[in-house]
Amino acid sequence: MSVGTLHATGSPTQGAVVFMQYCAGCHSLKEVRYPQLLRDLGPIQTFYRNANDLRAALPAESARRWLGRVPPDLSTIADVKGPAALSRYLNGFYPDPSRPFGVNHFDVPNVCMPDVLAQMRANDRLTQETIADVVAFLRYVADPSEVIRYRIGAVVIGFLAVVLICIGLAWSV
Amino acid sequence: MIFEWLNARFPLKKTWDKYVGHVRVANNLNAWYCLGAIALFLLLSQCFTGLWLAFFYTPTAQLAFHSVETIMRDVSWGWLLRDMHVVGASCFFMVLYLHLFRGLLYGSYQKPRELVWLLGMGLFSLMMAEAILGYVLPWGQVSYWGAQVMTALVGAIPVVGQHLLLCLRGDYSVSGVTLHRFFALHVIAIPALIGLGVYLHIVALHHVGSNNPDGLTLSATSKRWKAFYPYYVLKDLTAIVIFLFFFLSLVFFLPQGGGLFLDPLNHEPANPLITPADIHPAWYVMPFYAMLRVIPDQGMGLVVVSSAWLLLFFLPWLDQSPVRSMRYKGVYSRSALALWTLSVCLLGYLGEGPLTPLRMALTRGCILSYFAYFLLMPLYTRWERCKPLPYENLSDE
Repeated sequence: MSVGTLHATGSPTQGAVVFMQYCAGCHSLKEVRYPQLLRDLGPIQTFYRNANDLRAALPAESARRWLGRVPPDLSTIADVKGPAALSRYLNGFYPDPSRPFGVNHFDVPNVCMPDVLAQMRANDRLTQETIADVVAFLRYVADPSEVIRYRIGAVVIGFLAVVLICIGLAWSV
Repeated sequence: MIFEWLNARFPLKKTWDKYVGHVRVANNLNAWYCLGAIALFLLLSQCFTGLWLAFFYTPTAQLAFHSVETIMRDVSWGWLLRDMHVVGASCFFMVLYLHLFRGLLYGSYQKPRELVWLLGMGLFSLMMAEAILGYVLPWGQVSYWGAQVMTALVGAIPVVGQHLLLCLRGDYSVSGVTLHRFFALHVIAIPALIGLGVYLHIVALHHVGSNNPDGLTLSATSKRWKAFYPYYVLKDLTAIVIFLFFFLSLVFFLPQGGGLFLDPLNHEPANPLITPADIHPAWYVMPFYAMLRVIPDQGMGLVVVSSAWLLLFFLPWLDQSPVRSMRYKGVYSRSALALWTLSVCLLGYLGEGPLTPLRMALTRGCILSYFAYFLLMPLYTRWERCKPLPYENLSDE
């Protein structure tokens, strides 16, 4: 199933790989079921192969103590914020020695989240393609029906257009 | 054969003849007259998709949001049902506003169709309630906080307001109790009333006959009568197909209407501890919300919004014009209607976003022109010079 072809920017499958490595430790995806991910994106390396919801590894109480707040669930974040805001967010960290994790954020002052992609950035492995992949994955997670919607829609609207042309011809006679 | 068996025991043919077969209307009904049929189609669509959604939806605060997400992801074609229901609600209001506008344009509310108009306005009120209740059900941030604001309006009613508020919410604040009873109202009580209302609306209409774009009362022997069946049935069906084209384009390609049909913030689960920066209702209630928020006193705000809505009910008696249709009315009526339409659209736009001094001033100006349309109508409809009617004169039946 070519979920990736809809998004001109970013591959949800690659984004899922990055997400499971760097994000899934803290952020849950409670509305997503692994069998659905498997069906749409193929096998992704994750600990939750049999899970019916993808919970975060970090317990909530520990998150409150160590980070200051519980990392929000990201199942619908792409619908709430929009893909552009998500890209901005991932690119918005800057070094700040006064903060516990050494980073601050342009859009979210005193953000509780550490810059998880810092290691990739330091090794020059972080590209805008990677960020686009993660955003594409989050878009897929928020709205898994997008691709099939467009496909079926094209057929339905095409059919209706033909019907309307026939009706138009019938009326003009 | 089955038809004969049924017809001997139930007035099938008589009902068909009375409501379709022997109905006749003027021969110049235009596209504006198809909106009623489209509205009926949408009502059936909403009931059908709503029923299927109700199979899978859980009306508790803990599981409501999750059940909607389950519908979108795991239920077969659940995404289609939900998207059709959401887009259907907004399209329904678009159609109803246009249907109402047709009434203003051609004087369809004038004698002898006052009851049709009143029943229609009653239906519109029920629809507004139904939509507001329905928006609460997904239990997102906008659902919860919108419910808080909307129900707080009830509390502003003097004397009984606080007691009514408690009855409506079922709790001291909007909570799972509120959600549960809103679900019952949305699925059972109001659809039943709407069904009854639609039936009465159509019965009342058929008793007096449809209006026409010229606002003329056709004599019994006029040559301008045309059979409703099959001509206007076919026309209505064509209109429904054209409407389906636009409706399904939205369902498949833009189900959230760019944020208009379903606010992006509503994809975040409801959180009573975090108030959004901007709480606003859906676009179809926006003009009234815009009026409400520029009036500092809560009680006065309620009075203004209620009267803005209730004045529509009084139109048949406010309009003192000797002619029905805008085609024959004078320049005052036409300008007033144009100004009113512009005000409503502008109010809808101004209801959203931060309240700057300019927006506040514009909103208040629009409120004035909105009320002027109604309150000055008895005067300008009598003073203006109307165009002469053609050979078939308006006669009281």
